[in-house]
Amino acid sequence: MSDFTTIRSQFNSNTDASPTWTNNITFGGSAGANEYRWCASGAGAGGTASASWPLYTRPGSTTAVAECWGFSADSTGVKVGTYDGNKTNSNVFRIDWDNVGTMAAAPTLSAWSDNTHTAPVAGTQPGAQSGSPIVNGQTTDTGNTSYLKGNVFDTFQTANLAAGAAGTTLAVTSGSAGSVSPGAAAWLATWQSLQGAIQLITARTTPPATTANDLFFSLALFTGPNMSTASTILPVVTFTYQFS
Amino acid sequence: MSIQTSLLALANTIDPTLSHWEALLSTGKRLSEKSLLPSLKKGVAGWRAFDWTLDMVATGDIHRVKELWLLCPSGQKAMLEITEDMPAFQFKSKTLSIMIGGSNLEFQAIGRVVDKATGTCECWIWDYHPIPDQPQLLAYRSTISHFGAWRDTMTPVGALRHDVQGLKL
Repeated sequence: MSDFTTIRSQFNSNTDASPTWTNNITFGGSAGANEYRWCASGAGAGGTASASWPLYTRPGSTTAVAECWGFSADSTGVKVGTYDGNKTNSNVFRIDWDNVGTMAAAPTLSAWSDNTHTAPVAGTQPGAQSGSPIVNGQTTDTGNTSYLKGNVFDTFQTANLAAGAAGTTLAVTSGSAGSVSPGAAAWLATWQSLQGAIQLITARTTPPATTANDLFFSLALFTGPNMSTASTILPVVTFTYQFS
Repeated sequence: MSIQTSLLALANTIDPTLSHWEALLSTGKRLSEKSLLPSLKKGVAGWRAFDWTLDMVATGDIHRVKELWLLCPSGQKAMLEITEDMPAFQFKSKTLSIMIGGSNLEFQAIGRVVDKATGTCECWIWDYHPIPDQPQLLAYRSTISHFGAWRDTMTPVGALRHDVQGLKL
C-alpha cells in the first residue's frame, strides 16, 4: 500500500512573516507528550508538565482562548508563536508529509470528542466523552457548533504562505453543516466548526502522487459560560486521508 | 527511500491483521499488494510494496483486471468482476489524531464503477472500526464523486481522484 512513512503535524514557533516549522507533534499523544495545550495569555510555560497545566477560568461571556503551546514531551513545550485565538496569521499549523505515499482523495480536518470518534451530539453539555464539552458546543454560546473552529488554506502547498489573515469571519458561532472547502489560493472566508462528521473541512483538491507537501491550517478555541467544566477536556483534532 | 520505508513495506506484507487486494488479469496473471518490489528509482533505493498507481495504473494493467479481490484478516474473501464498463478502483482510509488516538487504519475498499455517467459504484469494505452490530466486511454503494460514509464515526470520503485510480469515465 502506498502510504506515507512520515506524516506529522507541525506548528510555527516564530512569526507569520518568518515561520519556524521545526516543531513536530507526532500524531497520538500519551503521558503528556505530543499535545497541544491551550491557556490564558501569559499562563503557559514550556517546562510545565501536563498534569500541572494551569486551569482556565470559564468566562462570563464567550471568548477565544488566547494561547496555544505544542509539547513534544511532557515538560518540553514551545509556544505556537502565531496562535492568538483569532484569524490574524496564516502560518500557524500544518500537516507535513513525505514523498512516499499517494493520496486517493482530498484530505479532511475535523475534531472528535475522543479517539473512538463517537458521533458528537451538537449542543449537548457535558456530553459523554472527554472532549465533548468542546466538540458538542452549546445552544446559547455557539449555536450548537463546536467551540473549536478551524480553517484550511486551499490544498497542498510547497512553500510558506504569505503573512496575513486567515479568512474573513471568525466567531464563536461560526460553522455550517457538512463539509466545506476553501477556494483556490484562499482560506475559507468563514471559519468552520470542527464537529466530527457533522461539520468539517475538506482540502480543495487531492495532492499529487509521491510528492512531499504541506497542508496549512489554523485553529481557534473558544469557551463560554455554558460550557461544562472538567479538570481536563481533551478533544481530538483529526486529519483523515485516503491512499491508494 | 529510507530504511524505515523499506521495513514498513516488509512489515505490511506479513502483517496478518491487514486486509489487502489482489487482482486477476485477463492474461491469467495475479497481482497482489502484498508483493514487494525493489525500488531502483534514482535517489531512492530499497523495497516497496506493490502499488496500485505506480504498478497497475502506470503499466496499463489496470485495464486488464478481470477480478478484484479483497482478502480480509478474518479469512473472508470478497470479489468484484471487472469489465471495461465497470472499471476497478481501491483505496484505504487512515485517521491521524492529535492528542490521543494516533494513527488508525479505518478501512480498505475495493470497488467498481457500475454507471460511468453518474459515477455510481459498488464496493466491498473491510472496516477496522465497525460500530456495534455492524459486520467488518460489508457491501457499500455510493458514487466516486461523493464517496460517503456508512457510520457516523467517520467523515465522508468525498471525490476520488481518477488518475490515481486509473479511472477513465
